[in-house]
Amino acid sequence: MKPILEVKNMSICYERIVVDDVSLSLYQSEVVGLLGRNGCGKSTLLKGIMGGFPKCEGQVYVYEKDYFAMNTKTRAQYLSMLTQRFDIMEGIDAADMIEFGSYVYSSLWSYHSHQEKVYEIANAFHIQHLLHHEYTKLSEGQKQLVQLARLTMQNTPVLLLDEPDSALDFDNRHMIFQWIQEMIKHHQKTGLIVLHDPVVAFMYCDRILLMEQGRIINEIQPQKETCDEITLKMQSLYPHLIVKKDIETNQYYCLTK
Amino acid sequence: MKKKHLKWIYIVLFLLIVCCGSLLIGSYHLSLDEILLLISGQSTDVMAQQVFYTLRMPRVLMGLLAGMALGVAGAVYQMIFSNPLASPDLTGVASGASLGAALAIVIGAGSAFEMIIGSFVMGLLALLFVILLVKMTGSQHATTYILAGIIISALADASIMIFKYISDPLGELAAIEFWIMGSLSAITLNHMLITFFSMMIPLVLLLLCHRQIVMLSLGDDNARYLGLNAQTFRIAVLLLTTWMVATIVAMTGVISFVGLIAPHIAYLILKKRTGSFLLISGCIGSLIILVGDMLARSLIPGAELPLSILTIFFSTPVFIFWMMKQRGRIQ
Repeated sequence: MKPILEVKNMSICYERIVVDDVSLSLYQSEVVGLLGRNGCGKSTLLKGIMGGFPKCEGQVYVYEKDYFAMNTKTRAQYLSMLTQRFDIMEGIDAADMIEFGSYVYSSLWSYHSHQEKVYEIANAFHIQHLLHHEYTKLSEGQKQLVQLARLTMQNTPVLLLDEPDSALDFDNRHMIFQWIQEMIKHHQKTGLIVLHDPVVAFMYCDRILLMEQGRIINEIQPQKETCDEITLKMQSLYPHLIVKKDIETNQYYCLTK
Repeated sequence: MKKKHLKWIYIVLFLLIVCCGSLLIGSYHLSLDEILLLISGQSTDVMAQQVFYTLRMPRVLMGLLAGMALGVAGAVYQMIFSNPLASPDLTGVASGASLGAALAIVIGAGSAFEMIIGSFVMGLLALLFVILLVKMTGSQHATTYILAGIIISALADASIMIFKYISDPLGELAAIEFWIMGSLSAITLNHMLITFFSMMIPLVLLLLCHRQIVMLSLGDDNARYLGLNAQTFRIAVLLLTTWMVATIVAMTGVISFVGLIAPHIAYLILKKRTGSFLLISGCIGSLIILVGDMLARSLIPGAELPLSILTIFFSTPVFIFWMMKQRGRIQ
């Protein structure tokens, strides 16, 4: 099977090497988690894949096409990203933010209202009551949900999600990962997700890439490996972690030594 | 009827009332009946026709156009720089255009046409220098544009000071000072028509690109993730806006603060920067200039104040109100 997204030898350097010769491949209907400590280069890698560092080394291919050779609009039709921060001026409401996701499918000066689609997507995220609220006045969790709705509107085959569960309460976190799984499994997309919680990674990801000091140091396939094998691989990042699995519920949990 | 449609109606109605008032007021008083006769072509008063068609109407229409251009430009600048204090002055276009006019006055090419050409060309040159400075730094960040604009504005202002220093205090200096403070007093029908045809293209293009302009306010990275080439688009928008502002400044001189304050008033009314925000900013700009012009003509009998004096006095309470609203938000 050919990869949907392929990153080859990406290196990003500003003041120091932040991403060091990273290569990875993502396949259709696959959720890949990127796990690592703060400052190891996870978010920078995602930004580099999106073309945020024009002077970086390496190549990115989407459906075997050179992603960096595409124009900005075409790129946004293949890859969409959920960032950690979306600081904006006042005066934009949640409905406007969600509708920005439709820009990639419009021509320069044409405007077709997507209000119905915005309402439909907002309903799916249970945020229809927030649509006419000022975006800057929403809570961080509500902003996150609006951004996910915007991603749904943008409807790209590859989703890059930078800590999608940050600032979310338990219920919303569960909803987000259910959305991610539905998008990727039922709508045959591909997702690369930056995560901090290993348990969440084991529960929702098909593969987990461990990153340290800008490099991919190991790969875990939770469905195919035993807990002992996973614990061993996690040692370099989390030396005090023991990974266990509840046989009855099939849920992972972690213990510390 | 939806609230937002009502707001539109009130603003347009108020603008029409102010336009009528502006047509009535002046050293030669025209009544409403006379205005209606003049508009319908049934007036037989030669003096009234002269005043209305050659002075009053071009002046009012110019006020409408100037306010629309400066209001829209101010709203655009605040969004593309994500800065509520951004204005057309930030890219140096106002200072550059003033320098062009001052240069024309000092070298003796002080006819209206020569001043207009000088202002327009220098206004555009100021923007090109800003773009050049930004490219030299290698950073396309919004802050870089603002810093470059401040540098070019400062240089242009210093050059104007030199011209003021060497100019004849009894003639040229007064002309430069009066031009720098802005006025609609010298506007003729030709000026108004040139302005209309010159600014319509950039104005219409900017209104059509409103959504992209709002996307620029999200930041370069986020705009790019949504499919907008932020760097190229910002330069294109700056060129269009500068073309529009340079046209106005070339005709009326520098009318201060309209581009800064009109978007804030529009936001206070609409509570949004999407939808009709740009147009409402333009309408508010027109209102500010027309009301300012009416006061400029009528406050001192037989004399006319420069327009910027009135617009600055209007703007101050709005700014104080905005600052009070920011309490607790500014850190």
